[in-house]
Amino acid sequence: MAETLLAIVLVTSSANGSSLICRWPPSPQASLRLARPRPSASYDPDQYDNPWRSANFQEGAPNDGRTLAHRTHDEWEYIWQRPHAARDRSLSFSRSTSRSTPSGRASPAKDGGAIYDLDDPPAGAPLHDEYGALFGYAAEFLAGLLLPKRALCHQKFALAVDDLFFVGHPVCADADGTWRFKQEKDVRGRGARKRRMSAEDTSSSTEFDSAQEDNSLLPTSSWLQTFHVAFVHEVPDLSSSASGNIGRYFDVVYQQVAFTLTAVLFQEQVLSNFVEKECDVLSALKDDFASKSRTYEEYMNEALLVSSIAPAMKTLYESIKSRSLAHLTIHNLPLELQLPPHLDALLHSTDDEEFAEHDEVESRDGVNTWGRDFGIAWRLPALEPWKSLLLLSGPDGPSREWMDVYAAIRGTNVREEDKLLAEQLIKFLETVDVSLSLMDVASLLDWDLESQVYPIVRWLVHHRRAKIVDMVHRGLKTVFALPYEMEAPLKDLAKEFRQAFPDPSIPSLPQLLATVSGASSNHFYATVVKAKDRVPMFHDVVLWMLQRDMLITLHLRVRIVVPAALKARVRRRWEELRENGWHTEEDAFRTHGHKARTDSGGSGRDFGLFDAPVWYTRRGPGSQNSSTSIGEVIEPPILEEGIELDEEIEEEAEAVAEAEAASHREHNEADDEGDDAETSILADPGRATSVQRRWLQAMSEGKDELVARRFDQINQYFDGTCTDDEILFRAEISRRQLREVLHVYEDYLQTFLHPS
Amino acid sequence: MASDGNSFLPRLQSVFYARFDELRGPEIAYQVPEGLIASSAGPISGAASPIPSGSSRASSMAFTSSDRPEPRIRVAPQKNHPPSNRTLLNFDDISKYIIAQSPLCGRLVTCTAGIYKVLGFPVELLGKYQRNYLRFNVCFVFGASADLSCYEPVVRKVNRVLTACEEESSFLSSPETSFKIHAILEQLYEDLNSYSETSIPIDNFNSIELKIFPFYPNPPPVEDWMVPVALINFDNIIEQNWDLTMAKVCQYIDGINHVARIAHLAGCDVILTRQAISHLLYYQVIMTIDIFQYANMYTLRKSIQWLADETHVKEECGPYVSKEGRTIPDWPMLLHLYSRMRPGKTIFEWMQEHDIRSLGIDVRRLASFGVIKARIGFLRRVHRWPILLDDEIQQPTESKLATLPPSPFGRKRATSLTVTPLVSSSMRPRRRTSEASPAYATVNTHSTSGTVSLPPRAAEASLGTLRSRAGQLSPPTVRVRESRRHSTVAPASLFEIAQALGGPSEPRLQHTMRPRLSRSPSSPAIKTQTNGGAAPAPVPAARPLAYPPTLVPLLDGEHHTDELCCRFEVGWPTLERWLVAVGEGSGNGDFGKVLIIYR
Repeated sequence: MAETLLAIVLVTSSANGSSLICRWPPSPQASLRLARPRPSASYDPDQYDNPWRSANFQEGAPNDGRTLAHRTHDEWEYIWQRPHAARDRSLSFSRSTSRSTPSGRASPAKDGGAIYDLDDPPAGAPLHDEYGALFGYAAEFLAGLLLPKRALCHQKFALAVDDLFFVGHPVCADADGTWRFKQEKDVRGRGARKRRMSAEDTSSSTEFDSAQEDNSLLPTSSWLQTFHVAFVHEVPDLSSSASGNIGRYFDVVYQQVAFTLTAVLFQEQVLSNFVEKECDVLSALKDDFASKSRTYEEYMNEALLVSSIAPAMKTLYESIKSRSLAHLTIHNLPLELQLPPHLDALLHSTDDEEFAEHDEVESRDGVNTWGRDFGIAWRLPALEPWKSLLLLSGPDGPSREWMDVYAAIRGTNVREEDKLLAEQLIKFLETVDVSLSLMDVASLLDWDLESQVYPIVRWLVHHRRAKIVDMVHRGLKTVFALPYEMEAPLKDLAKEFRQAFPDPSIPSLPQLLATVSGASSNHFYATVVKAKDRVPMFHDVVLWMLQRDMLITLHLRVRIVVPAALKARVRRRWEELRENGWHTEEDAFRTHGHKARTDSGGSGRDFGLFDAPVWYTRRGPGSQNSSTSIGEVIEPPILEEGIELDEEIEEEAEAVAEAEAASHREHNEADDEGDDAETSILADPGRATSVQRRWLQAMSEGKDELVARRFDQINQYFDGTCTDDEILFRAEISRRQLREVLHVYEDYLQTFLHPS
Repeated sequence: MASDGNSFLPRLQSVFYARFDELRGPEIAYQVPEGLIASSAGPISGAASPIPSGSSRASSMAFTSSDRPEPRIRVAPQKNHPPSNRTLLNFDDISKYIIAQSPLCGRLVTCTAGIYKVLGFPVELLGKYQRNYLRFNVCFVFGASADLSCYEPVVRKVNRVLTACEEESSFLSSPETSFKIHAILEQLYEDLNSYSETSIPIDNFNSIELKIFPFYPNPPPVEDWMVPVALINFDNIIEQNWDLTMAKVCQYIDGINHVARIAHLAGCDVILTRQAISHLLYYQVIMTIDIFQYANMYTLRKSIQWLADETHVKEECGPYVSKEGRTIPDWPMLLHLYSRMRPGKTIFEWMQEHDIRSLGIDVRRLASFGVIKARIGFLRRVHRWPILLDDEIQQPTESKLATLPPSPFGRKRATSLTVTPLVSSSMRPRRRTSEASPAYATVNTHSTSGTVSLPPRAAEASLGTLRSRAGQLSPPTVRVRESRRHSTVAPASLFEIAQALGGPSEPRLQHTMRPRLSRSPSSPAIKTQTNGGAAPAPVPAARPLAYPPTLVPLLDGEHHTDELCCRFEVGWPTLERWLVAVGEGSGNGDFGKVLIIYR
């Protein structure tokens, strides 16, 4: 929700001037602000408010204890008032004279009469009239403020006046008064991204591009020149969030809501003069109600019935406030709008890093797996094949709601191909389960992961019908921890829990939480379930808790430790070999090492920049002690067909540079006694240098060959960042096999258990 | 000091002075650098512009020709800036927000045009002008993504000072002086961009004094149980004229003392102490961590993934955590130790498991290193959140209210009053803080049920018996600071509790493990020691013990034990026993109806 949102207003302009057509809510109220810090009650008033008092000291004014005491008790003294709003308020206190308008600051316009109103609009209705005023401004003035010059139309509009912030996307007719779509290239001043958005969001615009040439096909508007759906916000407390967050916050509001809504309205205006017709209806209604002295609220209530923009504004406003997805219908066009679920966190986060920690739409490869709809503040985990999908249920319970969806999908008169999609969706929903990874689902359905499964997943997540979670073991043998924060007071959650699970054999929620959290990282089955027949029952419990983010799955990560003793052993052997024909051994090392890398396959990170240079490492024994320069590098292997040279060259250069660096490092490592003598952790086994590979080899000595081979295959994932799920997925081994490796290589491995 | 680049001051792209000209309407009179803000006659907005206005070029031309400026003004101020063919924005598009109508005057207005943002403060002065008013605005132009919080007061001030000058001497409207604006703008532009501050004398009486302060967000509220850790050396920067409270408070910031304890040690009001700490937090010269106790639990954070490979982490950890004179453990070993910290396992248990004592590691430093490193740390404290299962326990506690001295418990001072029996218990020769609580606990075990009111004298009596028992028990390890503890009464308890909370103040000074252990009474070994031998078990099962009645409503799973300990000024061992009493559990990890959630 955008907690700062005060109102949504629709303003239009014609040759006669601008007007505020409608707004929602009917009587928006900005929250109270303080004009200066309020001293805390526990302090002696004589001591506290000194800076203010000295700044506002008035000669002749009695500055004795009486007034001071009086001041601290007068709440209203500290409340900031919008300069023009004073008479608008029902509160009867008068504006304190001590709230000095700075010398020379203009006094409120309407106070002093209209002597200087030379180019002001004619004074509208009195400010207390709710038709004529909003936020202390005359409605007409405000409308004029929100409608910029033509040059600033068709782009983001942002205006801040003291404590109010207006954001929107004003659009206008062409100079000749006709409304038509802009050519793509006409979209002014926005980046490519925006252009893409506009192309997509006014999706049908391209279809009509050809028709545009013929203006007669487009309905003509008689008066509407500009319209603007503006979102009025309070400027949030600047000091409550890290610098720059507020700008990002308003950007999101603009991109997700304001722009899209305007795009649809603009399209309808162009195609069927829709906005003008609506405005005609609404203005007539407004005049009628105003002349009958009925309240603005009554007018808006009526407007909800006769127009489609007004109810859309209402729905949107209420959905934003209730943090839900807004389903609007504008001119019979269904439209879904929403703001990211964690948007408000932007306003309150003082710790960027903490915020960034939550916000991770990119996978480890740096690829945005979610797409542009999921920007900041979604707090989504990366979309990976080994993750799972949890369907979220509505208040009516999971089955019912999904039945509605099925019915809706089946019932609508969709085209044949859409029906097929719908059938697919149903099939998907029936298959998906929290104990299945997305890859499993893909293979069960025989679908392509990227092109078929992911889009549905994104759709479901976007509509808040599902979320990405970590896979839960079928037998609930998953290790959980509790999050630091709960979304609701525990008592309430406990009540809710009891309602959902009245079975007395299920412990109460606090008991469950205490058991899970105190279990010192034992898995759920062992600590809570304890019997096979109770698994299905607790499966639902786990789902319930996962849906409310009350459980965090802990993941195993592994690192390889190379003990000093092992290093010494390898080194000794190395020296021995060096004396008698070591190079054959070296070659054996290399081919073996490389084989292991390629065997493992499938790893996206395994591009082999470091370990691939088989072609490069042809070094004579003589060159061992002198560092290899690029000149000595053997020609690269013959390029495969289809590789574009131009693009490759840079990468190649990088690869060579890196390889060179690696060789330097290798030599240094080989030469540097000190570095080698200590126990260390292998930071990136996937890119192990030859020395490191020898260590890895030495670890396998005397181990069962099968296990050793598996270790060789998977040790590249033992970098402390790959989760167990990821390792299982990438290496295509079973959990048992992984456990076996971990057990056999215990001495050289460190395991970590923490959330992702 | 803030991590991101955004906290740097935004670059000022342009400064301009716009006014309402009697003949030409809104126009830019002067701008620096010149020509960046285009005016008029743009092909796009020409028709819509109500008032024909000269181009900025024209206006500045007019200025140079008519006003005879000093030579230095004529020098093109920004040679490194592109010529006027690259304009930032068109003035006519935004003129209604710059030279605004009355309702906008006297307000800070920020408008966006394309990729630039214009921050201004339109001013309207009424008086004997041709049109009865003078409108002007000195505006600052920035990139659209800039964070302008720090410039808002600057813009206000510039316009207010100019307003004052105009009112006093018609500085802006008189042709004799108005050309000086250009020099002012020039200096504003140069100085603010280069030095972030400026001082521009305008006339004999007025000058513009500006300094841009970097923007820091407000810190989170400071709580009594937070432990401030200094990120700089206060000794180097402290001055005599510092705020007195701040000066006192700073002395006790050592990464061990928590806020309530600092307040006590420094002899400051706790509210003032919190404010002082809050100030330090605001300037990001301290950070806060949790109170170290051997009963704490920690867990790894996600950031261990990348922090474990960072050279600075690897290299700093060993030397920081090892005790003097001991070999520095290698990073893999330390990492392994970190990875074994789990929710549900106390530091003490963890120490036993991994025989930390033999490694020469300062556990407090090990924990705080993990919590502090790289600002968010890779270790997270796991708090205990006690929750009372049913409300049925509420009934007896209400009657129990009468048994305890009637005091509101809301404020610190009140609580210290209520804990008086505890204080008196400290009169007996004690070896361990852990026994303070059993003493207090057993006080009420003499009453047959919680409902019987217990006069203080009964407490004394029971204390007497206890004292003798304790005397028999007393092991040879005698507390060193005993005498001092006896000397003061109420503050002593406070101090002592703070000590218990704070854990060992300087573990490096402790040569043997024993005394330290005795001061971390929450450890199970202590418990078994106390319960194991011939000692009368201090916590008899299912017998009601005295605990502050206000504790019960706080057991809703929303208050963690550090908070409760601070609030009631007791250590965790005492609180643990209270919780056992509230939950009617059997002790030793069984809290009965009270559940402990670790998160």
